[in-house]
Amino acid sequence: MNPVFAEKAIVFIPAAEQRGIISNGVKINGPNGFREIDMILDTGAVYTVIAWDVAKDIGYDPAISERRMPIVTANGIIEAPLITVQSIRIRDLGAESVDLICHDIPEITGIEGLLGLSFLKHFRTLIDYTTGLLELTAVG
Amino acid sequence: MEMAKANLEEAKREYAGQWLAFLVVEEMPTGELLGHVIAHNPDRRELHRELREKKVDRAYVTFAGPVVKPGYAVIL
Repeated sequence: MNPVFAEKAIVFIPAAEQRGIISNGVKINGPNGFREIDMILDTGAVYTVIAWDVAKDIGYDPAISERRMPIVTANGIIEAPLITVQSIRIRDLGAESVDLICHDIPEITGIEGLLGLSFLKHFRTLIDYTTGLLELTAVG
Repeated sequence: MEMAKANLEEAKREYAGQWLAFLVVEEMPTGELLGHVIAHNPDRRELHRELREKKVDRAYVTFAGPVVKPGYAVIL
């Protein structure tokens, strides 16, 4: 059965975390279950990114993915696996069949993913820094 | 007997500096999360390995500490 999603999700950004907009508890669904992880909003990233281990936990094997995407890192250009997860959900708002890249974020951060355009393109996105608010609204 | 639910924020204080896998059982209207700590480990990869070995199909994996190390800024 397809999941039923809401029309709007509102995420409050704690003032202490405004060095980066963190969305807590983003749910990534795959064939073996789901993981909720903390992600940094990255409106400049074409793809959403999750750590390899998160992909493996929910039933994907990035190592054998035939789809690869060149990405630029601090250490140069690498070919990162591209997979399609069953769905990504924030609060009660979600998108199905989302493409994302598997790549480990440096350990200096306590996050396991970047929320990029492959997810955000499904929504009208409002970021209000003055009130610490990220609002996603379903379109269409 | 049902195991008492833990508060995620309290669990983060108890396991400060570690990665936690938390089974969310209930979300309060305030946004507070209640549930159970499934596993904790200072090493993120070891935590995930343990979850796969135990075939844990649902968990909230989060770091019990500052998301960005103090003194650093993230540029993506």
